[in-house]
Amino acid sequence: MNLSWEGEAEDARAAAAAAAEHDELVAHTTGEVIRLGNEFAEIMVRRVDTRNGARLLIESPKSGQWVSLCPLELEALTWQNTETFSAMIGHPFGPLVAAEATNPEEDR
Amino acid sequence: MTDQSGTLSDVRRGMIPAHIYNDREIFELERERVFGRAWLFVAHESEIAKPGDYVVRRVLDDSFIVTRDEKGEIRAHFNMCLHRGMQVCRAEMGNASHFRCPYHGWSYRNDGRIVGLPFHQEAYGGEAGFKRKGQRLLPAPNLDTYNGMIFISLDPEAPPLVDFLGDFRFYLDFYTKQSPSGIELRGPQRWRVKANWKIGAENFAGDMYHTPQTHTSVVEIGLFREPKAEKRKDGATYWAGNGGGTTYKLPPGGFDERTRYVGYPQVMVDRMKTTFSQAQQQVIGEDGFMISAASVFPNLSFVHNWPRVADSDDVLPFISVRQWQPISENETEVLSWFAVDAEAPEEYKALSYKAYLMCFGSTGMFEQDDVENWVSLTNTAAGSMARRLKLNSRMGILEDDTEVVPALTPEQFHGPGVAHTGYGEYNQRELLNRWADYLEQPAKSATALEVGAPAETAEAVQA
Repeated sequence: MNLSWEGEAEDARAAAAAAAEHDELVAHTTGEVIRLGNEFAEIMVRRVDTRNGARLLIESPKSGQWVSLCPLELEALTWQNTETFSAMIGHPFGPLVAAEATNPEEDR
Repeated sequence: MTDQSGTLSDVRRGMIPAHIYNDREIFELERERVFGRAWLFVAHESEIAKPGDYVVRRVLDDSFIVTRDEKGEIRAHFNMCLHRGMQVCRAEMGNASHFRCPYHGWSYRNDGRIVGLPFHQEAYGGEAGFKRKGQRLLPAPNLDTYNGMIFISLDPEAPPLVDFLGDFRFYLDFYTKQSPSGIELRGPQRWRVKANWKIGAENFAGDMYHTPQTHTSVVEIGLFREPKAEKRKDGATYWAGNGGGTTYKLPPGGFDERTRYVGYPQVMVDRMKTTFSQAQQQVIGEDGFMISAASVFPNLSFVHNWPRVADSDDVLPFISVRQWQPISENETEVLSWFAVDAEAPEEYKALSYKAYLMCFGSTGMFEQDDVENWVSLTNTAAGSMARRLKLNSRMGILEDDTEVVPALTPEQFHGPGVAHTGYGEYNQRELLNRWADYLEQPAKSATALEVGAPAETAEAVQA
């Protein structure tokens, strides 16, 4: 008997795509991997080069979650205060701002 | 609960019912009336120097996160998640802008404010079901600092720390402020001994009498320049405010010669002269006394000594801060820190640390000598015969309570409080008198905080 759920194939495709993207980024690591942690979190940071520029890949080995940030996004971090991070930490397991559903109507 | 009034009046006479060093009922009273009320040392600012730094420290069974928040303010949060009571921080030390409870993921800023409950909306219906705004980890009822030493009190109505310490601050400065930068702490080493917490506190407060006997071997191996431990009777013991300690008598000379004699380099001596008050300098320079061990009621002690650190006649001082953290009536966790003037030369700091390790801390020779006695005393105090014995703690006074040797005059001793030379148990009696004062006063009831209740209510609960 096979267990399955609605949208299973779509989830599998999304996960595979994300894993492929991640592997691609890791394959282009430059320099040392930085690891830091405290009793609440452990994190790996690496510089990854793309054909046209560099990004910072930040990963949580425990959850497998990762994000790759461009220099402008990183600069935006420098404008933040603790409240921004409190809001992110206080809303765990998901993004603070939900991704907008693509509305074909708006693209016209 | 046994009526302890007889025990306390015996203690006030200097006759100590032996069982107080291993008695469950006494310990429960201490938990409520001494440790529930007095100002207790938890950390030094140098241990949490930067924003986000924290250490986890205990007051008996209560765990506190002592932290410097992002704005630089020092705080002590009761280390219990507001949700189900899990310890929020379990590492002994760290640096974090936020703490996250491992049980359900509730998160807090390091200033104690709650920032997140997973699924707040879905699980509680948002603010309507759980009022998140304004909720914070329970702060220690009282917190204050002196020379970077962080103290808390579980009593919201505790008198100000400055009044609690009183004139003992004069002596505390010798240990904690030899320069404008104060001290930095390394440690603590922690270990447990099967001994009652009061014994160490009494010993450090004033027991110069045990040195020639208990610490014979330390003198025999030539760790100290003075060949005779009996010299301790030439020193003075002093009691001021809520603490007291011992001193050594120094050879003739002025402030410079005498501080250099114990091994301080001139550069540190010069800073002491601009930092210590005139009276503080007179205690050393004119009266000829150098501070050694001391205790602050109830369970904080200090030691300052100057062993040989190499194969020569050169000695070098060290300072240690220590706490006798009660585990039970017959077990104590000792926390031992190395302390050093933050402005001291690096080479001095390294040698001073070596001097500390030789004498105190888990490897210290004094430590081994002392604990053997304290464990034995505690074991013996548990038996039925100990309840028939009142130990004599009246050294230094005659039957009519007059002093064997009169107290030093203000011209002989420029520090505050009362000081005596010769062997005596003045300070041990003072410490236990404070203990009796606290044990006599019933504790007030405390208020309870209802977490996240939409209409905040606090109801009195019997403490």
